[in-house]
Amino acid sequence: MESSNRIILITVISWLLIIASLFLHTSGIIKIPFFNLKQSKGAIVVVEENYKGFNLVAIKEEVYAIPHGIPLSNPRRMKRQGTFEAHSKEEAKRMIDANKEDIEPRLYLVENNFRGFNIYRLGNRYYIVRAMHKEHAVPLPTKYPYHERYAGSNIENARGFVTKLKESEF
Amino acid sequence: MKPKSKELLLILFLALSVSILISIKVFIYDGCYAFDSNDDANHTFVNLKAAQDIMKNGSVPEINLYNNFGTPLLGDALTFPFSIQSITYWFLPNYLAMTINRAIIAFLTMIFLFLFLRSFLSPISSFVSTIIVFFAPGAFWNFAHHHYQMTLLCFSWILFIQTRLLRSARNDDNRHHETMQRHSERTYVIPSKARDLLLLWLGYFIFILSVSLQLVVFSLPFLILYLPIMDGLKKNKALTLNLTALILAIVATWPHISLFFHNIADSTRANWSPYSSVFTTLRDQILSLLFPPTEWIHYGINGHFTVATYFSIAFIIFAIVGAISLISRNRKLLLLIILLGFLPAIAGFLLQFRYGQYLPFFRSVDSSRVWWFSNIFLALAVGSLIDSKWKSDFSIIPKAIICFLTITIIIFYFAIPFKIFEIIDLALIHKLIILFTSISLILVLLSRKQYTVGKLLIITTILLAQIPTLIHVMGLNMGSCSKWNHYFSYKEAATFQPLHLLQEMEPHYRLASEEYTVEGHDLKAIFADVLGSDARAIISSQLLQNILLDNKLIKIDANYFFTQPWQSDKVSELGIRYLLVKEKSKDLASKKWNLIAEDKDNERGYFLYENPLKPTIAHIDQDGNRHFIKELQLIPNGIDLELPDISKEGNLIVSLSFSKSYRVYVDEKETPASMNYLGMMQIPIKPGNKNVHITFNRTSWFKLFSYIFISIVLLISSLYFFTSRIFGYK
Repeated sequence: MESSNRIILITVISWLLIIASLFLHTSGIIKIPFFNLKQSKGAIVVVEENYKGFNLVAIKEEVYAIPHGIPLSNPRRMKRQGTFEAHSKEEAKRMIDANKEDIEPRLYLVENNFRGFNIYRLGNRYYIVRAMHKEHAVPLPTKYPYHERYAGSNIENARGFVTKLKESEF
Repeated sequence: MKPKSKELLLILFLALSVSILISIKVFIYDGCYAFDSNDDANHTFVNLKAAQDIMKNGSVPEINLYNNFGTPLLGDALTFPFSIQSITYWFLPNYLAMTINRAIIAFLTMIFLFLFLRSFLSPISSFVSTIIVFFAPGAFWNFAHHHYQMTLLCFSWILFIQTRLLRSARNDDNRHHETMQRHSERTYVIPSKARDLLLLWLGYFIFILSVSLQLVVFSLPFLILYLPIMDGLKKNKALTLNLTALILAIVATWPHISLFFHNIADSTRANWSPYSSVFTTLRDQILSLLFPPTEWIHYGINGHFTVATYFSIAFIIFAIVGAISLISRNRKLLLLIILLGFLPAIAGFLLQFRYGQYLPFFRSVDSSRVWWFSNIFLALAVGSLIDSKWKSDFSIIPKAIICFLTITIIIFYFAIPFKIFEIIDLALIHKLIILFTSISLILVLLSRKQYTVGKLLIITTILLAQIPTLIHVMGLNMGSCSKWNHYFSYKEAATFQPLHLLQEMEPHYRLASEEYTVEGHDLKAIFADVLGSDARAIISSQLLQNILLDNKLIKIDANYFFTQPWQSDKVSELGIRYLLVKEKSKDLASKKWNLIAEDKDNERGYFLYENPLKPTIAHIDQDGNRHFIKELQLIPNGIDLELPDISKEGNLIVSLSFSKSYRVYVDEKETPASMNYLGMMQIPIKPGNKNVHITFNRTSWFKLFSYIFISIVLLISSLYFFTSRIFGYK
């Protein structure tokens, strides 16, 4: 077979293979990991402006304390420029007060999205913060997004607190 | 098999495979159709219905009275009621018409793109380049939309005919010297010219009537410059024919063009665009060219910019190297690629991301759309690389440049984990594309002759680079027909949902829905002859928006929608009888609005309230007292009203956005109308007046056809003139 004919044949087969595999992947018959590409979600939420020379900006479930003068960019890049990453507005402020991200104690995620709230442990105390919408990646409706609230001294208490809590009160 | 037959099979395979591929979810999900539930369902389907209803009555479709207090139909940037793709909507339900349109238009686009590229490239390079052009993210994303989907088809058709003209003009010149007097030659050449001029005119005519004029404007430099670049300015007969066809097509479609600019000048989009300020830093802007932004940007970005700027490293690098390969082979083609490929592509980038915000026209448009056209010429460069003889086509300097590019890509690849945080967790497919691109360049540099393996590697890399576009644009990872992506939708999305709420409303009364206009309830109420109030149109009036905003009646989104606090008085004055809201409203209840229907099964819930005054869209205002008129009839492009007996002078207020294009007749006598404080039509009336006839009148069938007639007469004259005078045949 001539070289040009061989190239045409292989190209046509490759194109067919791509189409066929996209059909299989889309239909769910075979999930091809190769095609699992990320898709950006979420919104930039301004939590508080000008707290001791920092702006508090949230993306997905994290609050970023960004020093004035640092442009909003990729969180990994911002971190190299003196930005602190926190789980709540109050934690971000504690970091700003301490002038470092590595503070003790820190919010430690215990349970993600328990009835619409993330439960965190801070030392021996448990706090809740409104979780984010799984698909939209923005905070679930709440009066004070990214606000931490004391929920009890153990996980059971915290869960009970969430169960009793009316969302509108939060 | 003969080479021609093989090539025909190749074209058909390509066109058919793409037609099937772009309908992928239609085959996979039951009840899934290929239409956009956002722009098309909310705007095109709605306006085409309005246009068809008017045309069925023999009138020119001038205005859709059902949306936003009157939305012009002719010259609207999205509707195009005379477009070739609107024909299917006469025979099929809108969701099916769009599905079929997409498949047919994709099929034809692939054929004409292939034929044009084949004028310069081998069959396999044309195959690959056609795929690159069609699946370029911006063009492919917008292929979903009624007003964009004919773009590449018309553009490639015109380029293809121009190329034919170019060739036949060159052949003419040769023949002219040799056999000018031979009758047999004349009979062949003259009809060919006539046919090509006619086909060009038809191409431009359909292009202007079927595609957003913004894109037509973007495409014109390409369509005008292509021939002079290929054949110079002197004695360029093909250029003369091309310009003639273009000018005559503009003449034929002039009413449409002038109305478009008339509408857009007054619209909310005149100085604003949703496409500005997407990528604010140079790093982001460059990264967005190399990788689909949706894969690395840290927050959700909306619309086509999730992927539209993605060229891929492979495409960019192969286009550059392809152009370099032409330095010693075909300088004319190189010039074409530089002037119509690289320069506009770079200009589009700079206008979109760097300087467009400072320039009046470019501030309100998406300048990256120029890439839809420049991509064709960049793809020519890629095809040229595949067709080149590689090492022998590159002298020492080009080799050094390729070497530099190769090293840059390799450094870039290895720098990712350390310096380019945005793409640290880059998907495997992109890593492969980078690796294959650099290996291909090494092969280009080192191979002594055309390596089959090397060519195949380039082709494979290019095909791989299309996969992210396909997945993101068509939402192939979503596991659903329509979730998170509106390239495909279920047919229910083409109409008002939940349907039972629509059935609660009486026809010819006005609704306002408190929701982002993308939801579309307000517009799709037209399917039960209910009038909406919110704005969702490129050409919605800036003046009306300002008035409603000043009166604190609306909230701005991409356009605007009515919102609380509900001012019952003003809402009634605007003739709004129904309000569709998403939460039960104590405010409305306290103002005695009646909750007449609700739908709690729906995810968010809808609540339909009725105004206790049950206002109609027209009322008589006498010293602040309102008398709503029940005797009214919506007619094509207007409204007829029977007035009740009145004892003193007053004003008739019709809740249609004031426009000088309305003609108002009170008892058959033309009467001047004015604008009231809410931007509506206000007509003075006196005791004894019986009826009022209002009609929106900007053009007529006579005017529309006169322009076409004049154009055709000039076209026939041109045919005679060109064949007998310019080309020397009598």
